[in-house]
Amino acid sequence: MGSGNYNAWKTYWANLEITTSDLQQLANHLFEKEEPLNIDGLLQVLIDHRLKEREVERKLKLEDAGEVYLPSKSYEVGAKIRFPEYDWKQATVVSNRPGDNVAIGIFSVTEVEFEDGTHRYFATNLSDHALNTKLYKTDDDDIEDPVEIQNIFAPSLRTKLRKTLEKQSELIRIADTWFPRSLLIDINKGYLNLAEAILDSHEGGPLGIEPLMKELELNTEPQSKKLLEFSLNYALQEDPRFDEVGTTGEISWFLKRLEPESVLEPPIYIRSNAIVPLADQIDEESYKLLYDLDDELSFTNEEIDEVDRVDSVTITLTYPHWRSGSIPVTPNSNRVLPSALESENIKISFIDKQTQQPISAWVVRSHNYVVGLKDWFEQQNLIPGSNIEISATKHPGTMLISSEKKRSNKEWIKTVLIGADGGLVFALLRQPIYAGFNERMAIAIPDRDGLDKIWQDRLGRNIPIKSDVFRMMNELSKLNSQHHVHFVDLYAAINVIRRTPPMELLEVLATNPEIIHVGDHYYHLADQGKE
Amino acid sequence: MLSKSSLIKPGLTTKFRVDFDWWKLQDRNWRNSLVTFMCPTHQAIFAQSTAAQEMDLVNPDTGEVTRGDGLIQTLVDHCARQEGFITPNAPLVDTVFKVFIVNQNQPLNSLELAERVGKPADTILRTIGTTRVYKGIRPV
Repeated sequence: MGSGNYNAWKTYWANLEITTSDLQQLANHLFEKEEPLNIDGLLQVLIDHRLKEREVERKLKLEDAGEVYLPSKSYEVGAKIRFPEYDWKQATVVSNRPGDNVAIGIFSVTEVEFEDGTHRYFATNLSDHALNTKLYKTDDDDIEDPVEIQNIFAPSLRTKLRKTLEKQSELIRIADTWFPRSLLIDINKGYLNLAEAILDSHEGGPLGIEPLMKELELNTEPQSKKLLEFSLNYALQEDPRFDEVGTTGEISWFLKRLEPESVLEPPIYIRSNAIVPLADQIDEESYKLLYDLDDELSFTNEEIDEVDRVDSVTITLTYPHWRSGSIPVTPNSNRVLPSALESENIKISFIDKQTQQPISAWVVRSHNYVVGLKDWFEQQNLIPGSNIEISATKHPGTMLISSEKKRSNKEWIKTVLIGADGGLVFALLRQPIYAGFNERMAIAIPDRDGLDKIWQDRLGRNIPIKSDVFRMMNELSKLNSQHHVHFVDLYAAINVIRRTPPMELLEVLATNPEIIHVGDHYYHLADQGKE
Repeated sequence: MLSKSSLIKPGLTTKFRVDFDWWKLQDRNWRNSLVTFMCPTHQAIFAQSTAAQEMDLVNPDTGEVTRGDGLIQTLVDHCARQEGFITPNAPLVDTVFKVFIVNQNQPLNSLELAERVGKPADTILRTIGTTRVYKGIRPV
């Protein structure tokens, strides 16, 4: 039997690179079928094409390696034969002569030369021999089942195929579906103007492609329906008036100009210049502390996207999100939020778990936030630091939302007061509380308008973060007799006046000698108490 | 000359086999004896010439051809594989010999032979374990 390399074909599929020949095959297929295909359909075409190629290669290889030795056959001098019983070694026929054995009768003896130069003799033209009916399993017979290839390699092949398709221009994409540009049906401007009017009448949308086609009265033969859908989708995609807002696998259109302002541009409270990823060099405990703050500015898009799905997550509101009516898109929240391949903005719905009232919201992927919850926050009497729970449903674009409901009672909470000079003062005051909260991050805001004015005033000014940190530490340190300030309290407080990622705050604390780390994430101003 | 093993009295676990070389040396009629064990077809073929004759021997597993005495190979590779090769009510020595031929002459002890032959092991040992050698059956 052959020595066998069981993983040979797996190695092939694991290392497969998409070539121009593959792309040509995909284009040919789409030309032939005249129907758009999604990435999985294209992947199946690719796998089938490669399997056919491999089968041809395998046959050529076998022909080159020679026939498998069978005693019943005869072989010409010079022919190549493979001998399964001799570890599939290959030999060349040197001579043939009549066999000599009265007990066997007529047969031939074929002399062969193996690759190492040894000569051996084998019976040929001998019909009565067990080897004639023996079945061999060669290396090439190892199962290379398209289903198994799909199961094992589809995710990596899909990624490779997507990347390759993005780099070419012959095939164009709508959501996750591809088609040759040259075969598209022309959708004239009149239809697009009409589509705008239709979406306008639906308050911008969202509208799926089928109802949109119906309202446009775009009819076609059933066999061309998918092609017409694709062509209309493409025309809408290329027109800046329209925005595709569906989750993965669903195409929905919205009028860009009717999208909420908070979708088109991040509210000032959550606006930021850049993300500040958590540094690898910080100690494990600090990393966990900063990670758990669940700030969208702490994570790269890859970190946010590479998460496993869960049923529900809990999010603690910071002032910027509370004020914006938003929640962050982070590795935590993204475990229940819907994905989308292309859409920058995804139209989603929350359902209030208690009242079952729907809440329209948007995922803004370019800035990693979900907006549209301002009214709901107010209805729930939430404050910065309140905990909310988001649960997935069967529909990717719909999630349940709830706050940790509490009977109204009063708790001692850090409260932001605005002085006559516009300066902020933190005081511990008893405040009515309606929902569960994170004690360190909870901050009562009695004067929201006053704070809004401060944010507006600060917009045009380039105030150094260090001075804000010092001001906040001064304020917070007055709330306890040791004058120590915990990192999380400081993070929550400074975000009341400026959008500050945890890592940026930590850097300020770590690099200023006037700030002393006293352990357990508590900090102390060096001259505190000297005043 | 007796070998050392010949001087040790065989027991129930002593392995035996057919020593064709010993038989060839000791018995000029060994070929005639072997022919009688062959199937009717090959009896007819090999009975015509009892002289040793080199021929092409075909390995039943690999198809490889070597030169050698065709009689033993035909008996082992063909005739012994025919139905009815081992017959009931045959002399014990013949049956034991045939068991070895069917077994590709792999060594067997009296207990193992008893299972195949259906006779008591000590009866078999008393028959083949004496100083007299029947059909080349000797301790290994």
